[in-house]
Amino acid sequence: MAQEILSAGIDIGTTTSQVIFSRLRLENNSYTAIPDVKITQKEVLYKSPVHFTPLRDDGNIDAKALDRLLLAEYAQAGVKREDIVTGAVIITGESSRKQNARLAVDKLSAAAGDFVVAAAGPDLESVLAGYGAGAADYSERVPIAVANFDIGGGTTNVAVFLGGELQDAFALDIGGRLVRVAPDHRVTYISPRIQPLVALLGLSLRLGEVARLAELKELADRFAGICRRICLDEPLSPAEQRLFIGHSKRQGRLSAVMFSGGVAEYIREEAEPGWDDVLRYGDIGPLVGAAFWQVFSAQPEVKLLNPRERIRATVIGAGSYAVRLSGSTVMMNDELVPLTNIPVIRLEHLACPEALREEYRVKRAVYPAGQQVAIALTGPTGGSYEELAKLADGLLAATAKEAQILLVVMEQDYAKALGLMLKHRGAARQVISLDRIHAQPGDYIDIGKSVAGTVPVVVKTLIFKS
Amino acid sequence: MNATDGFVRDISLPEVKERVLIEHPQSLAMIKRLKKTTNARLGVGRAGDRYKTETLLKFRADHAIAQDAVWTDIDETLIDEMGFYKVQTLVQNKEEYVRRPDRGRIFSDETMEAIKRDCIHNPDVQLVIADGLSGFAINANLKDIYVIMMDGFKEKGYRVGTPIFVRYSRVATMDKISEALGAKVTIQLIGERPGLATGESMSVYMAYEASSKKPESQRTVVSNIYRQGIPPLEAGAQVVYLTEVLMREKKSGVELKI
Repeated sequence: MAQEILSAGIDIGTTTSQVIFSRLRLENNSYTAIPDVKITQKEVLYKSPVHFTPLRDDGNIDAKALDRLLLAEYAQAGVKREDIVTGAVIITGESSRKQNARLAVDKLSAAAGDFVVAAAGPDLESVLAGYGAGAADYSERVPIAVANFDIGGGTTNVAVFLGGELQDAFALDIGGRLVRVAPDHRVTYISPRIQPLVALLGLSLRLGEVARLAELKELADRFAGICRRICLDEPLSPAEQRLFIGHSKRQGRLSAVMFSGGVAEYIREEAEPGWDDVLRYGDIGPLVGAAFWQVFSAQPEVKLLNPRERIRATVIGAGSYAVRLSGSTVMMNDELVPLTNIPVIRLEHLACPEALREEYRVKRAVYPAGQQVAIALTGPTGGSYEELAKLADGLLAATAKEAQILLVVMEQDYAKALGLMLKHRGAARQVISLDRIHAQPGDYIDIGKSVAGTVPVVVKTLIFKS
Repeated sequence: MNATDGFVRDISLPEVKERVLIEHPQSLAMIKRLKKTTNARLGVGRAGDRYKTETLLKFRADHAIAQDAVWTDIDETLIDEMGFYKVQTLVQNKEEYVRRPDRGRIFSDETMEAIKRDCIHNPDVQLVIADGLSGFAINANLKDIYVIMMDGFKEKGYRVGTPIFVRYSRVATMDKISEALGAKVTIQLIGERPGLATGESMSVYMAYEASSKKPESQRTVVSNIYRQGIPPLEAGAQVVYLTEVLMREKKSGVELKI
């Protein structure tokens, strides 16, 4: 038994925006009455051209123009919004623009489709780009960790995979449009985030003044050198260390890398870039790409891999890899979904109803009273009826005063049993109970209508945030 | 096999199989990940061109568990505690059970009469508990799966018949019992033929108006029920759901598209 669903990926970046539509094939490979549904195929049906993100004169995103652009792409692809079952809109790049972008996206998502949602956060970008570039898939075939560096206009987003699973994610203020120049070679923009590095290198780069090609190349070389030292676990200077966004990398050498993102289009064997290349888009992207090629192609310590996608890695990650399927035995009510941007509360004290209640009270207090929340847990440790009944009673008591859906996601395969107990003991409560879903505190989740007995879930994760 | 604390490790425990025995693996994390995907004995290393002693002993221990599961008569303490109605097929002992599958499918006329005399007629749901090829499986899973099923049936308002335990039973006894009592949905819990992964795996066979005149394909099955497979509680919840489907659709097995 197979079923196909249409998924959308929309990437609104600092520099460029893109849309892709992909078809996900869900198949039930079980021969018993417990279904075993998996995504068996992901096919990208339509890739939009790479558009410059429409900006107003003040530098903020032009929401109306963006909306028109997207609707035109839907029309071009022949896709109607009601056909879209899942997917993600993500806002990428420099964080200064994100607030405005978020407002723009909120306006457009009504036209984009019901289950298409806004997500953000540099780590999530890293993860999606890593999936889209093929680093996760590649890591399933080799016995080493594989890292993807997605180098965009504003940021470089890194995800590390081992055996197909995410090991680490981080982001850096390294990008192709952190310095921009006009046709007369004058500097029109320098990102404040790289000023300490510019000072460290002693460059004379100033806003409004004529840039020297050698200096731009020196900056690009340094970007590449920093990434190589990050791979080799070699020390960074304080000014370089400050390029990490939020938190740095975990310990460990990275011995195989691939590069995606707009800048990666220039990471290939080509003649030495000059002013012509810089002026094509008025930024240092081609120089950064050439520098990465020079640094990484000429050394044996870090193996350079070919990505499956370069500039489209993130959007394909968002469209094809953001959605996960729950386990096949769950407690679901399709009338209650879609649910989007539900904050996750993770509970640990599962064995003792009183402790559970207290833990929930403390963690729940962070969110407003009427807010729908999702309760995440590992699952019962022993798995006896008594233990699960205690857990059900604890959850019911903890949430007794709430009118929202009792929404539980867990890792272990107990969702249907727990759901049944919650319904049995909780009388009138609306219950959704899903398993094989791992969610951390601080994550947000989206839940769509069930497909072939399982439930599509997007976990918008902020893992590895220190 | 002596550990430093002076105790001999129990080689029959499932976690013994989680150990990676390859010396100096290039990536221990990768082998561990591979091992999580299967019950097969991966990453066990070798001594020359043979198994290591630990692997060989574990293999024999697992085989012994399977042998024991088949040849040990079920301990009926739990069945008695739960107050199930008890009957036996034509089979008289384990040896005959293994040699004569045909006799494990039928009852004597006296037994059939007793069932008709003592048990509830025309139930919505009839439970049959069968030792099958592993009594261990029944004792390991029965309690948890039973209570959650009963919760579910009670909530749905189903009329549940007298639970019947059948000694030396094959799957087809559920047809005979269903016919005798006029049950709508008959659910049989039966110990699976043990393999080298576990001796505690149980299956649930379900059929709507189960009958010996219908083919084997009348049955819907949930298998692989044990702690490390499909947990008995989760399987029970799925059985409750499937019972609803069978009651609504008035069919089961391959006729049912789920």
